[in-house]
Amino acid sequence: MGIRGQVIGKFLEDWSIGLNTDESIRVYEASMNFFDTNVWFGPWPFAPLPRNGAADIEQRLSRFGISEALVSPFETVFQVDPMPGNRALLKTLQKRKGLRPLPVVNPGTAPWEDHLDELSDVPEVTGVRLLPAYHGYRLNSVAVRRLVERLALKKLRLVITARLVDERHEHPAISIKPVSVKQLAGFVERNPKSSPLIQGLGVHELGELAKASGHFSTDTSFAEWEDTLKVLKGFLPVSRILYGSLSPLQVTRAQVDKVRLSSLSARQRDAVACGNAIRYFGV
Amino acid sequence: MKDGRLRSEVNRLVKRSRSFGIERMVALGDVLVDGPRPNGKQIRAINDETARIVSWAPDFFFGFCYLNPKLGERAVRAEVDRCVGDLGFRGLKLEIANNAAEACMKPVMQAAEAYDVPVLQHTWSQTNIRRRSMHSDPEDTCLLAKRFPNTRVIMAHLTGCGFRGVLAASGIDNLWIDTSGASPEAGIVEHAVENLGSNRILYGSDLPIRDLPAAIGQVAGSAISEKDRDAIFYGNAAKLLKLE
Repeated sequence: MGIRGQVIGKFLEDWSIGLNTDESIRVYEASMNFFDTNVWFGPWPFAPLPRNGAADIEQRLSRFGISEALVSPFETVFQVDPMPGNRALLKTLQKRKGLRPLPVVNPGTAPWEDHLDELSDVPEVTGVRLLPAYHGYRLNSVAVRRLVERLALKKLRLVITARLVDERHEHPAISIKPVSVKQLAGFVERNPKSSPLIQGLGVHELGELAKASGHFSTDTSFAEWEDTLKVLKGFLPVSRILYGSLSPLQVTRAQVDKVRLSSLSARQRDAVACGNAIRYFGV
Repeated sequence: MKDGRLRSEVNRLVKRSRSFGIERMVALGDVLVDGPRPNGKQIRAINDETARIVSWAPDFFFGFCYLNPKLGERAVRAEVDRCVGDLGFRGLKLEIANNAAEACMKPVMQAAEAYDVPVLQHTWSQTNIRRRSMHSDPEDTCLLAKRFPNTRVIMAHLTGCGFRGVLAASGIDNLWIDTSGASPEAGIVEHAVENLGSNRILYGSDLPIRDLPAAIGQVAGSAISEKDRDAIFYGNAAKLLKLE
């Protein structure tokens, strides 16, 4: 059996446990606070997910002790022009204290600089999200290079979504490949000061990316191995790991427990759950 | 991994699992260590390791016997006799040596029926993977269960099987699905409970390639009743493995 850094087979599969789940929920509501960097708003066309308006998100997150969240609109994923979705999001979140907008910019469109100017005028906006796999551009494009410069001037953070859905499970109507580690490594090496938050990578992908010379942070949404955070800590400083649930595409409780029940120290778990995101986004 | 290190790692895992309320666990073996089609000697070595692990915590682990059906009837039966008959393993495990719909599965299913043990078949939707010569699509595993109605079949990886897998599994009385594998995608547990009934679903973690609290949380955090959760977490596996 190997635990890390090698190709291994499945070893154990447990079927039988007895948990008092309601009691467990009460325990961690009181014990940990979370800042979720990967939450999505609106309907998703390919799965029967729960209602996903702002009030639904608030209710779902508060149940698990998630007091702050960065929210992006699903509408922007499948539309070339992200601004209608961004504007709807900004309007919806105006009076939602714990939900912060993380709008999407598409540098593959001509007016992206105007879009960025419009978004950066909103005080609640602390960063923008890129969806290269869904919007069909590469991270080595001239527009992305220019975007990185503009974000630095505006003191906005850059969040790159490598994948939203396991590519093996995508609806057959669409063919989306995640942003490759090679492309991401090239980006962080070319832009050493951009320090992006790269979301949606698996443990092995993060291990590969960590070998790149550039600086980046990541979220917990797709990273998994037995005791995930302990494994990630082996090649990435804890300060660069941020909690992200990918809610509502993934089960929020599962993502919370990945951090809450990690074997890391309480201080390190708190940093991943909340502190690192607060510092990273300066909120 | 050397025995001392393996034992230490297993002890750590047992302790951590028990801290989350896990009472029993099925050990499947390091099934891909020698590639998708191990020879007879490699199969025996994998199952020997499983037996060693079970012996270190016999009140916690059950062993399943890993097989390569491509080795033929004689080899399959000999290994089942050794592992189930002599070592007390409680089930058979199939990975990606072949597709579950192939004829080479017949001796496996006959041996399972003879010993009255379940067959756990790795299964994943091949819609986007397209490697059906080795991997089993949900439709293949469901066909296997239909061909051998007297043998209990566990179709592994609910999330990998997806919504199409759940629909394929409907109405097959000798088929169960486990929840192991992939990220904790939302909606699939609820869909399976609604379409198959919770009595057809088994909790599974896929350790060590998955996070244990996340695997538990996928079921615990789904919108199903407490009764359904209890059945998935414990009751169904207890019945299937004849713990009661």
